[in-house]
Amino acid sequence: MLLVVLFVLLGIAAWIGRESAIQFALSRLHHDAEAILGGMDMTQREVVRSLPPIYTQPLSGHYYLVRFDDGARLPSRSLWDQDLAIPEQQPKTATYWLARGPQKQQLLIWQNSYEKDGRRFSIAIAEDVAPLLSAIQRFLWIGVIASLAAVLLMLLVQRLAIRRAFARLDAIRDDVRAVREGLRSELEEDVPAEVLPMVVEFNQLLHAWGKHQERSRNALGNLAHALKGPLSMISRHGEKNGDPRLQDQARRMRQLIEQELKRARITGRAMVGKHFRPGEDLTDLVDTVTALHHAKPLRITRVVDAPDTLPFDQNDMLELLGNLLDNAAKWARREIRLRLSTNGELLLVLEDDGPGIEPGLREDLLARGKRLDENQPGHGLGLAIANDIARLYSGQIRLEQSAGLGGLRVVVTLPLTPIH
Amino acid sequence: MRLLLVEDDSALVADLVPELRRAGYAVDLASDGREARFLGENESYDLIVLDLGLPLMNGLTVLAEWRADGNRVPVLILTARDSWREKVDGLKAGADDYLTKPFHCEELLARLQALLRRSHGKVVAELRAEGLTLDEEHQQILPDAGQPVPLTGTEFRLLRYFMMNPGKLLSKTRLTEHVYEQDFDRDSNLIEVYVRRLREKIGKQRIETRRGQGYVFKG
Repeated sequence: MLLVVLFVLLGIAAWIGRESAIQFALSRLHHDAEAILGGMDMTQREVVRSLPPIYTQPLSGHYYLVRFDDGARLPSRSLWDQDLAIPEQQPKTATYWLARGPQKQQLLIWQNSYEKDGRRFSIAIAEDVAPLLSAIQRFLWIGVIASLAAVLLMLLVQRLAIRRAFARLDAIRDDVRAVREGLRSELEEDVPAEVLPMVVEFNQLLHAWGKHQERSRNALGNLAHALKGPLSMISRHGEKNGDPRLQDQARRMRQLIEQELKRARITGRAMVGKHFRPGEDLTDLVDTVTALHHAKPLRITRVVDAPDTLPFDQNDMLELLGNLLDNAAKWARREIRLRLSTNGELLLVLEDDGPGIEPGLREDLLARGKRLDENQPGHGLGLAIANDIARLYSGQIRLEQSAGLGGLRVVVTLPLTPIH
Repeated sequence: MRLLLVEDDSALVADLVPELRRAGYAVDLASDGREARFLGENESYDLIVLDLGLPLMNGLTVLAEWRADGNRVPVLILTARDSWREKVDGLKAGADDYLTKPFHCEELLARLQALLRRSHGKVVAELRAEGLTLDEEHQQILPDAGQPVPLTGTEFRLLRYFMMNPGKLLSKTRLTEHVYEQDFDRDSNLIEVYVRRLREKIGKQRIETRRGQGYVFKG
């Protein structure tokens, strides 16, 4: 489009240049014709007044030819042995045209008819306009090349500008991905002014979504709270009145509520919450588990070899690790070893010196939250919850026998980046 | 042992208080956060059982304020909120133990007992003084030689407090505070009566009188 407009403009410029050059040459030819007319001696049929010497120099490019009505011709000396091709008829008015001349000259010929001393004759006068036209053509070519260069340069600059503008959008896209993967909680607002409103809107959406999530979590917590009180009462009345059926049903309801609420509370990877900080969070958890099991002289050793923050929701990880640690603390005699490392994925190994779990029971325990020991509440369910969380993060939990301590060995692997 | 029970669920309170009293605790009640904060600041308790979802003021806030004031009373959080985030937050706010509802009364009592021991620097499972053991379950004295000696509720609470604080000078006011509930008419002469009865059961030389100051239990 740009090129078409450019060429049309160049064409117009060329035409104007050519026309004005021809008009300029024509006016000179006209003057010279006047001079010839003035210097014409009709009796001798000769031009007696001296003309510019260019008309006497052979093949100079400037010629004239006078033709009388009886057919006699008077050529300029510069024509030498050549002739000017002119129409037989005397023209009625002044005309001009372009024609080929000697030595590849390009002649602009101007002709008009006159009458002097009763004799009619025509004067054709010609000038080689090849140098002029070729100069114009040269200018035209320079113009074309310069325009093309300018267009190319413009396109290049435009391309660069667009690239740069889009490079900034790339950063935003990376941000959006980071939010989805939980590496960031909102988009960077240091962006070009054109996209800032969109980024701000997006951040507000994230914020609103986070609030909404927070609210539903709180609502779940409140529901759990509200239901557990009455359930507790039912269970205790069963206990008091020695009604095992009442107690049993209350216990089942409690388990169901616990299980479903805990599952509903898991956030998963697409979250807006705080990130897991292995160092601090494990310290907190170990302190908590130690306090909750203070009756036992537990020795919990831990090795953490991981970055300060990991792209997992803090609450989910507290829940996952808390359940596993609590389970280990319930069964361990005194020793628990915890190792957390990252190498493309998060690897957590938790070992205790308790009785372990028989191979045949391990699968059941992860899958259905079956309790191995009905007397210790929360058992098995903890492992199933941990397994749910791990699966939500595309990870897995394996239960093995600890070679070092003899008890249960739990191996958790979670990929650090989402699998699509 | 004086215990503050902070709980807004009246059904649970009605159920729990008799159990706690039977276990030898003098129980005060607070049913909202502000009342709990006030009582915790102004009364000397040996234990506090704290619910988290309270009217007027959140349980965690109350706990954090007690701790900020330097109040080190052992606190057991008793709540339906059972996520690990909440457990971690509770212990970080200064709780000593955390029990989630629903719970078995025996578990609560066992945990309270363990908490009391820890707060008095006792690691062993039973309270012992030279020549005798306190059987907390049956609220009686087990002498190394001879038959068990039964105790009344007040005698049991008083002796347990003495045995938790052996060698320390305990004023009558302090003993009253830790043996009776808040609304009790605090006549310190009653303490004298109970000390005399205890002396009859465990031997006169065990509890020494410091005139005008109080009593010292010889461990």
